[in-house]
Amino acid sequence: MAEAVAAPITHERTRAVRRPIPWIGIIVSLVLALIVLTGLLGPTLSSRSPTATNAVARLKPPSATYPFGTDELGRDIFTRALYGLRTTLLIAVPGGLIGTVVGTALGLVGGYRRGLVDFLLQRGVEIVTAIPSLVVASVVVAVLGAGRLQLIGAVALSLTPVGVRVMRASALRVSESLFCEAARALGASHWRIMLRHVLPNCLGPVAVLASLNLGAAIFVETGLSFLGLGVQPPNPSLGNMLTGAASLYFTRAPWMVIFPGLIVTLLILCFNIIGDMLADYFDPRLRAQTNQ
Amino acid sequence: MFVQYLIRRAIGGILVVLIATFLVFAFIRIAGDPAALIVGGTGENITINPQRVEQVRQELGLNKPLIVQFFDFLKGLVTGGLGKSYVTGRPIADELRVRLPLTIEIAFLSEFMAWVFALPLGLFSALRRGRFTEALTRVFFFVASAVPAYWLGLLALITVLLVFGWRPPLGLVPPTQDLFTHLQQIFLPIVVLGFVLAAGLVRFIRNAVLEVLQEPFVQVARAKGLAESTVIFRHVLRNAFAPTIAFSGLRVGFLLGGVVIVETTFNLPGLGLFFVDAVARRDFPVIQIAVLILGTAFVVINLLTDIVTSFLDPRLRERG
Repeated sequence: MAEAVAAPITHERTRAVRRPIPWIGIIVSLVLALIVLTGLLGPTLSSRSPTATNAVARLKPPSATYPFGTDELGRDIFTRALYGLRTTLLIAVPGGLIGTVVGTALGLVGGYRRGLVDFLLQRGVEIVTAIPSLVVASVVVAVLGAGRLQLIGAVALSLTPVGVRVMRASALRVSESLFCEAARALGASHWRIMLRHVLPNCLGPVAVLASLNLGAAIFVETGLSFLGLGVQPPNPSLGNMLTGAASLYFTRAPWMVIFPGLIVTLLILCFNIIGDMLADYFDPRLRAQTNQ
Repeated sequence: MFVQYLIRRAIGGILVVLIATFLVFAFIRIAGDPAALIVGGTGENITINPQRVEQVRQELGLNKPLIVQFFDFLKGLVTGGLGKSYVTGRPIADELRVRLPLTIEIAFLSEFMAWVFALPLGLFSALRRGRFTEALTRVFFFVASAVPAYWLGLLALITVLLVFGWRPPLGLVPPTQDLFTHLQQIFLPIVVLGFVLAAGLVRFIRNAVLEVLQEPFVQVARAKGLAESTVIFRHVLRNAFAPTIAFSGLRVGFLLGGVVIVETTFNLPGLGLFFVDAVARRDFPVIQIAVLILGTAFVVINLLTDIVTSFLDPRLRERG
């Protein structure tokens, strides 16, 4: 330790190693921002109604008037996708964030306190992970119904275990470091150490987790809606646009399923790439933990 | 030592499944009112006939204390009476006899397809290490992990129809009746799910192989003049295998979730579709059994994974 302290202090600013500009990350973030903005503003971008039917324009292929074509009732798929995107985002984003925050908080407490709390949390995680996340979410919906709040809760619950696992591992490591011991020696309370010392040093993994969880949340929400258990028709969601009538007509009118699914894929792709780049930035070893 | 470890794991696994089942069981009864849901659904303006609700409650034994109900449920499991579907009235055991083999078949073949995709790609990119293969596995990883299986399934159906003018025969035929037709029907589902599952696997195999390649025993094998193929297949692959198997074992929940999705996409009457229908119709007896089976599958497969990996890598037997 002594040598480290005694190292000569140079006043000349040492030049940091330049990281290459992450072009891919910038492009992906822009694409993501564009999709999210479109989703939030979408309904004001299109003057059409997502549920208005038009018997004359049934199953029309994409054209200038109908950029994504029309479905079996003559509804404009572009408008439906805009509304569906908003629905999906308004469920998946809060659900993903709540799942991340709850998982992180529990993992922090478990990794820091250890003992009985940690033991119980670990067993809880084991129990929830023994059931596929989509099935966990389905059970919640079966009992509580498929309203927006219930869906957010279902998505959050299905994502919580990953957060606990990732955060616990980091918190365990960080809470053993010298600065935590120092804080303890100075008489800091457990809460203070957890929030001011452990948590800030785990922000890297949490950022990665949040990004990947948002992707997973979109997967769970659209999956539920695809299975017919999430957002109920006639309200469009990116998931439920691919079921029902779409499953009967999709070979005659492929545009009914191509566009909504493409948006889902792009969204998940963006979140996964950003998560991966964050992992590379903070610590490449993280990837192994969060990979599905 | 190792046997003790396995026994401990098995007991822990049984506890996990029991608690998970109990939680679902209690959640259904405490957070919701199954009798009212069965009678009235969840629509907003449905008037519920209280007499009918009471009748359903009697029939399902929902007026007994929770613990008593749970023990009745467990007793039913042991004696083989799994109860009846509330919607169709058919015994669940009869349904499972038909549906479970199909689900196991799909799960097994999809995992197999995942290895078919992932093994050559992961191995190739690890052995020909460089920017190109790195980019290749990255792109594959991102695409395959972002595409939802249901959308990929629909795209696959559209593609084969438009390109080859072929459409899988409708109405699933059991393999005992007509194997060829059956294979045609399950081919797309297992390829689609295998592709999605391959995403993480490719990356894991690549990393595992790269890690083993740095071990001193690989250098020794090369130094003593073994052919490169022998080094790769006898030494590298064998040692990269154990962690990869362990990885797939841990991901079995992901596999089972995928099976639920492809069964619904391709309308295959397995356990997954049974579960989805049951949730849509609030058929609680079926939901409980399905969760129990999925949880048990997870625990059993993880235990099997432990045994298999310990055979592949004797060092793992030391733990416990």
